[in-house]
Amino acid sequence: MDPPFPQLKYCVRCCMPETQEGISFDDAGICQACNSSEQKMHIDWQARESELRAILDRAKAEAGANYDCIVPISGGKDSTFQLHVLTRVYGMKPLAVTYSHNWYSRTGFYNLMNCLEQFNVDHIMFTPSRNLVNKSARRSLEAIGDACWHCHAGVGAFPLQMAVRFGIRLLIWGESVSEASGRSSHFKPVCKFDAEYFTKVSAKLKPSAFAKGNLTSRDLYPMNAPTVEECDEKGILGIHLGDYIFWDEERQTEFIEREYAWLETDVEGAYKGYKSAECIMPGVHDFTNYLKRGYGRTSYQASMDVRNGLMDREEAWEIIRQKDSEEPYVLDYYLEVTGYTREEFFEIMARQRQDQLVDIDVAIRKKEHPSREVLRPFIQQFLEEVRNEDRR
Amino acid sequence: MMSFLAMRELVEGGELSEEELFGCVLKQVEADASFMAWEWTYRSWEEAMAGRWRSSKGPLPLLGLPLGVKDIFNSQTGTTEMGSPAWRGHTAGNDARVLAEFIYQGACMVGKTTAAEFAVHALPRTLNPWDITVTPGTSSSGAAVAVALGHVPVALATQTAGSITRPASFTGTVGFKPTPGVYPRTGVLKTCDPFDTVGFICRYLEDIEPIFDATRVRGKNYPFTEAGLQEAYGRVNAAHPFRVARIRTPFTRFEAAEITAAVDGFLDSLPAGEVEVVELDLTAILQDADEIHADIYNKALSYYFAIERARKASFSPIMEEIFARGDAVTPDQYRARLEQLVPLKEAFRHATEAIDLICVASTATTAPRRGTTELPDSSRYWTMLHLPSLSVPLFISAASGRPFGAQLVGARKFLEPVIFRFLRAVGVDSGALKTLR
Repeated sequence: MDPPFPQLKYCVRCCMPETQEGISFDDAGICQACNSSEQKMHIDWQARESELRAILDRAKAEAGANYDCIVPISGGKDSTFQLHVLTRVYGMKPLAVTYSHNWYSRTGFYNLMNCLEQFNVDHIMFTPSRNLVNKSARRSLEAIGDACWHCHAGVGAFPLQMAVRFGIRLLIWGESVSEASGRSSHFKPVCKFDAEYFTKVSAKLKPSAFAKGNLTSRDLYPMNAPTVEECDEKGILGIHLGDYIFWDEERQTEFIEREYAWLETDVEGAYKGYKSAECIMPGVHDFTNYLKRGYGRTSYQASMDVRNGLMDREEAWEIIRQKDSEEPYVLDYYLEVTGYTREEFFEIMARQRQDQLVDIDVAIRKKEHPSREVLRPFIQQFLEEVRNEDRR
Repeated sequence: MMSFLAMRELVEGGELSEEELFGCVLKQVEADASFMAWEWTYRSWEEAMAGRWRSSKGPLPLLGLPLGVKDIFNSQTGTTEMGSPAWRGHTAGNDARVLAEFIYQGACMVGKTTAAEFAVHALPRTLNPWDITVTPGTSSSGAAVAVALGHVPVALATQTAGSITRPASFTGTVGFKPTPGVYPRTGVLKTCDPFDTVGFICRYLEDIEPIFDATRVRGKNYPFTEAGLQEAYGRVNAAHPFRVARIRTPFTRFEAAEITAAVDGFLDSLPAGEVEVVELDLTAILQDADEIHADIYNKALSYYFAIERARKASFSPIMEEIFARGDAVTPDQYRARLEQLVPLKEAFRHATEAIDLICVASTATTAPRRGTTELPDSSRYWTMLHLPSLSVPLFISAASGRPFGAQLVGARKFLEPVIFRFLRAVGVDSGALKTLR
């Protein structure tokens, strides 16, 4: 079984191609994410854990009557694990904050509410309006090549806004940036988080640059992160738990499923049911990545399984060929809310294709198995359901 | 030493507490300290369990299992030294994922068993209790000796060539190397990722399947493992009579006559209604396999220990030799060798299509003197082909009085259930094993 695009250079060990943003290969042809997974073995995680304990103790001492920290949560697997670690292991009093993408899956909404109940934490959620989400999703395709700019921007900005507004100096995210992105290493983790950082790693464009046509800067006000100066003035410190404790997302996911009834679902484009389970839109997000860069979520997951010895490369290529190229069902919903036609969608994506793939046939497969999730925002499903019940 | 299943019954029935059981294990370890099977042990059950999570939803399938852990698995507390002075005092601060799962399901880690330097060849100080002048085998030396001495019924181990099978054969213990993909390697030292496999060494055959069932990955997040094992469980009844191959490989010529005769005798004694023995010559197919394995293995070792090498850490002469050989393999040659694995697996699959299992000697000889070279055996083939194998200590050498084993190898990935069922069908149980205690 060959890789899906034999013309591309792939990591010798895993299945990530040269088209992944930020990827680099060493002399042996092995990628930074593979090397990161080995670096983790050389780290004294007991010492790192002591550093974490000191940071948390300091935050508790400084918090006074305020919350000890902010934990940005989506209801995904990391959120629940973060709250487990912070409340059950370290006895922190966090304020949980959620930037809702307003595309919650039914399972994802359950997981979000479930973790609030399980860990008994206070919570603030910001939900952008339906129109704002739809207009952003349309603009996002052209601007950054996926559907999700409002989410990329909001999840970075909102927790920082809350930190500044409420004077809570410590923010705690989950997975380390070093884990699989190739953007940093476990030996030199990223430790500065502000507007610039989140724009660079996910949103790509600041709201002022994203605004266009009927999507105004005023519409996008909530996606503005505090400036470096504002963060510095308040003494905001952001950390990733994954820089202080050995991050093992699958083990952690199995733990929260068994202990806290966190649920998986069918995630389009993926063969594992936990990554981005909170959202209905990962199918489009990952499919656009496939159209641009020749790989999707399955390549990422299979690469992780290869690193962890759970799959060999031959098996990985087999499942990558099956899954990455599947056109997701949720594309219909995306086209409906953005007003794009299918042709327009594929035309825009063709323009975003990486140079290495320009003259190559990027195969698309029709998806044949049904999805367990109804691929419309859960809130809309819920409203319809209640209305229908009322009518009956 | 009783089986884990018997221990669990005592603990579940309230006749023995886990703390008491742990105390008994420590006494035995102390009494046998001269064999040096352990790097270290916890001082009490409470210390061993501190900060670790067990399932809150009972019953725990591994309740009461005292577990040895080869010192290349990360552990949340205590040191993880990889059998090397270069890692002396290293505190990993996390449990390898497979270890965490054993503990979550009810096991209690007793401590770390010794390992060869970086799980390769340099023998640790551990002594073989059958004869202290001979090797206990590498690299899972301490795991095998701890089980052979009856300290623990099970010890986690790894195999990249023959690191489970050989120590098991040399110490009269059962060596289980499952199909890669059954256990995650997260938090386990990487030596050669195309081949590194997690498994365990144990004393009683009846313990293997329940432990395997309780701890293997399962569910749709592991599509190949789940489908492969489900298919194998489905095949278990269909595989009747079992078609078992007596094989020849390029390494058969190294086998001592006594060992070949013993395995032949075992095959000839199998009940005809249950087993059909077929002859299979794999010499041509496996002709280049050893060289492929060697190039990949050496290159991977020279690559993965770059950090230690840059630090000018101290290595054994054999490790330095391997690094030199690995350095001589270019990245292109390494890639080419990896690509050669694909047709090799395909040719092997084609040749073994009609059989269920292979039965072959676990080692070419009984344990040789310490410091002498071990003769090559077939284990590395099964490791590189990703096949499950179970080494069973069925024999005692008339010449030396030392044990050796026969391996049952699944002809395809994920045939573990067929191996388990075969042993039951032909009446091989723990009573048949040639063990020390």
